[in-house]
Amino acid sequence: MKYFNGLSLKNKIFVTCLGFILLVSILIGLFTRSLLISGLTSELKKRGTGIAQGIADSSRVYILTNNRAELTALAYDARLGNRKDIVKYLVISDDQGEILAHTFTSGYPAGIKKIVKASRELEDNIISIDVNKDRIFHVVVPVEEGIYTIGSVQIGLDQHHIDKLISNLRLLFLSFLSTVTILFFFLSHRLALQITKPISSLIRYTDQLKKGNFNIVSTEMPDREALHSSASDDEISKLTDSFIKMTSELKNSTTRLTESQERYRSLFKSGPNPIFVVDKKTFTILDANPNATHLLGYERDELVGMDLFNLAGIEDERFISSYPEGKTIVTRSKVRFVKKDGEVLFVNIHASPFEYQNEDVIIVAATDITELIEKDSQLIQASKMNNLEKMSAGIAHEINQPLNAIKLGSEYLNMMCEKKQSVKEGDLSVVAGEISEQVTRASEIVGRLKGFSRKADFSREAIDINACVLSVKKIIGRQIKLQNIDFNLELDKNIPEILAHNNRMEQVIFNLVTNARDAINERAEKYKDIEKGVIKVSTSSDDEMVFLTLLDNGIGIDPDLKKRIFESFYTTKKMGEGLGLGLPIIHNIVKDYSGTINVRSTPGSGASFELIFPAHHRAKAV
Amino acid sequence: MKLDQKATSLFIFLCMLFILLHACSPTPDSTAAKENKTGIKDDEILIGSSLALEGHAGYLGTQMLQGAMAYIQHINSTGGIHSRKITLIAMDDSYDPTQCLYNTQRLIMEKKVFSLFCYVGTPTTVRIVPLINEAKIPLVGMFTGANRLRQPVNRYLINIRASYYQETRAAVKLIVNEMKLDRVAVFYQYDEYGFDGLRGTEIALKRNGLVPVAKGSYIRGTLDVESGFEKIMLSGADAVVMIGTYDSCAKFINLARAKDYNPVFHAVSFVGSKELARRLGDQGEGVIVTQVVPPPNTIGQKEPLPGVKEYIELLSRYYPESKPSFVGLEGYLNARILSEGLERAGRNITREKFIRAIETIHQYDLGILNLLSFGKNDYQGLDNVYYTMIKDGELVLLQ
Repeated sequence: MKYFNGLSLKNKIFVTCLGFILLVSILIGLFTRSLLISGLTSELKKRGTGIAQGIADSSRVYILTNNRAELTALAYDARLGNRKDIVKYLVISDDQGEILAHTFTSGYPAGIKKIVKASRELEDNIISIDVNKDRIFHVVVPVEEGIYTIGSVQIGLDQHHIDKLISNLRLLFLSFLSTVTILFFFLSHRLALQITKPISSLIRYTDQLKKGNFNIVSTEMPDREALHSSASDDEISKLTDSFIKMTSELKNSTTRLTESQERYRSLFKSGPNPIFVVDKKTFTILDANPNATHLLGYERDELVGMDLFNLAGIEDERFISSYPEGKTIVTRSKVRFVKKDGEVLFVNIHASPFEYQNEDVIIVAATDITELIEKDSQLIQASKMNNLEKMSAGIAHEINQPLNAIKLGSEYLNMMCEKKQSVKEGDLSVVAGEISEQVTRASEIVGRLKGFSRKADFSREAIDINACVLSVKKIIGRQIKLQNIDFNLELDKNIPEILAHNNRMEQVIFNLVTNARDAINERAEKYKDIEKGVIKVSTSSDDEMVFLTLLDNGIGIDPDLKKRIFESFYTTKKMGEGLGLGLPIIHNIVKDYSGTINVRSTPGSGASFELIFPAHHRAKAV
Repeated sequence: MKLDQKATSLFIFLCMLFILLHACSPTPDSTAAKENKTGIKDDEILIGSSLALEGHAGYLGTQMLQGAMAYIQHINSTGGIHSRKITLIAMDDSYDPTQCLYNTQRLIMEKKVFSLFCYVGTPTTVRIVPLINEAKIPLVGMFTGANRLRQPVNRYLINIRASYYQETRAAVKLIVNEMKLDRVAVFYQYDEYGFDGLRGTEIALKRNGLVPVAKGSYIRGTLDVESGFEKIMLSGADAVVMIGTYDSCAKFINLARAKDYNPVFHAVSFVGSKELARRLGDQGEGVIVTQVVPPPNTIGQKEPLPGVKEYIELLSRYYPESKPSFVGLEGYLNARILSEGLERAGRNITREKFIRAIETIHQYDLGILNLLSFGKNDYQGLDNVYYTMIKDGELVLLQ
């Protein structure tokens, strides 16, 4: 069985056919043989008995006259012609069992006389005996006169005759069998070939296909037509047809695939943006296009195998969680990339899952926006300077106050010196203390100004938004008070931190406060209103978000304009008073820190700006 | 390619399997002829013969036996063969096939003879052929030219005289080729002997593009030849080939002479030419008889043939009261061949060796102007026949 399983399909068919034929033949042979033996044996006995009876009838008169010559002739007559094959011998005996005539020519076989003599006592008239090593049916037929037996005819039937007949038949049968088998050999061989030849061809072609040789259909199958016509419409030819169709289909699609691959590879290579192929699970870089290597200053070999998170300032957790199963493209803006020489780049990232060389990967495309960020911060800086400029009078007043106080103190001391009057111990310490206090105050103002005007870089850190509010109040709180506007704070001390930058957030709040102040002044001017202006800043939070709300009772925003207030270069102020960049910059900064701005307004009675930032839970970030 | 090799080897294996199967099937027993020495004693070789010594054919058997015995006694008196004397056990069967069969069985079974010898007559000899085949015992010399004892070739049946076919062919040759007669009729005895002659004549005529113009027959043992004669006379045949016995043939010829119908009468040796001549008397003049041995007398010849001469001498020595005859000469020649075979087989003789020794007798001169040859598959000794014509009541050899 193991050997059989190891055979090819062709030989399996072949061996099965042949084996079946052989088995059937052998069974038929055995059946026929058993049938023949019993049939022939009974036939032999019948014929032998018939012959003996014939002889017995004829021999009666000669037994009575004891004519041995005639009896002998009769005995030999029994063996005439082909009866010789059946009748081995014939003996005619008298009633005493003495042999009167017989057909032995070369002596009596051993024991035959005894058998003849004993035959009178036999019950069965057919016995099987061995004579000269031949198996014989010894048939006894009595010769009777009246009711008495006067002798017997005893005939020996050659059982070997049956064997001979059977062996002849067997020879015939075997010859027939051989012919049939040889015929079947060729037939089944032919059949097996017919079935398996196309299959083995298909196997060969499939192997070729596996190696990527798609030209076999056109080059190596020129007999396709012949194959088709000869095999007509059977399953094999259908299979062949399907195979051919499949191959050409496969060829076409492979060609298309190759073309598209080449197209995309050229895109990948020559595209202006850095593109990385990143393993989906480990975030290891598998490939990077030349632009990426150029931009980052790494060689391709160095990049491959690096962790994407080592390279880019992406919060891996959030990056991973942002596409659990989805096929959606993930975008992140202003991601920090660190170049080989340590320089920092800002890029926008597009990531989309993909299958690349049978692996699940993410294609990460980056757009270099460093220059844009640079421009952005320059703009922010400019706007900040603009603010400062506008505030310079207030600030100058702010600084003047301590300066005046210092002047007063120093003049007093000077005067006391000129008068050569001694200053009272208590006065001196008061004056000195006042001067020192005023200097500290002035330098504080200067310091704050310096901090505010510093150009901030684009980075994120965990900050307390309350601190920013307080800082802004320190810069412009006094000025606002001078303009007879209340600046109220309602800060929730327990709000979580957010990811942002102090300076930027201060600028946002600063801008919002100055806008509110302008709106209040505008209302007072417009409606000659004597109602006191109020600016109220409050902070609060829930689990996820941190809220900062700024309320004023200024002129408000016209509903028609509400949509436009964040557009660049849009301003409601008079020419020369504003660039129209304040709110757009705020909007951009808030967006950078993943925040949103909601604006509500009732024209004539005030507006509210609500900033919402995602809370940064330090504990979670670990 | 590998597949094909596998298939081919499988095929060869199957072929061998079948050859093996065939080889395994039992082949018929070739019971090799055992070296049988039955009938060979230290100083004696037993030879058996069943022939007509009494009855209507008694003359033939007696004459033949005397001819044979003359030579056997001569051999025995000169020391026998390889210091063994030949003992011939002769039994009378009176030309009865049944008796012949019984005799032969007794000769083989009871007398345990080495070989059978000098049988007379076609039906008798044909009857014992199965016995001969079964006992594998040789039979040397039969007074019959029956084709059935010659075809198919049987190595146990050693024929010395020419066959009826050969005799009738010679007759046709004389009639058609020499005498230029083409209207040939056949008169035959309605039995195995007659049929044999008829067939032989027909075959010979066919070779010349002829058929018998008439065929007449009679029943053996009767003299009812009239109807056959009528047919033949009416056909106006120029020659009549007669395959019968002397009595019926004599009657036929007498009838013809009486009607003044005188075609060429041509009888074969078995007719009993001497008796025929005696019965015809004057009417026998010109009747031709083919003989398988030369005439055993000196009439018409200055000097008898050497073989004939020796026969006459030995016959007169051992059987002084007997006259030489064709049958006797045949018996004598049979005895000579038997002796030659026994001689050639050597002292350590067996039946098989004897037959092989007979096969070696080639171009053997018996002194009768007719060389005798046996060989493998050739157990027909003499092939030529002698033409004799009745002249003045005697048979004269035609040259």
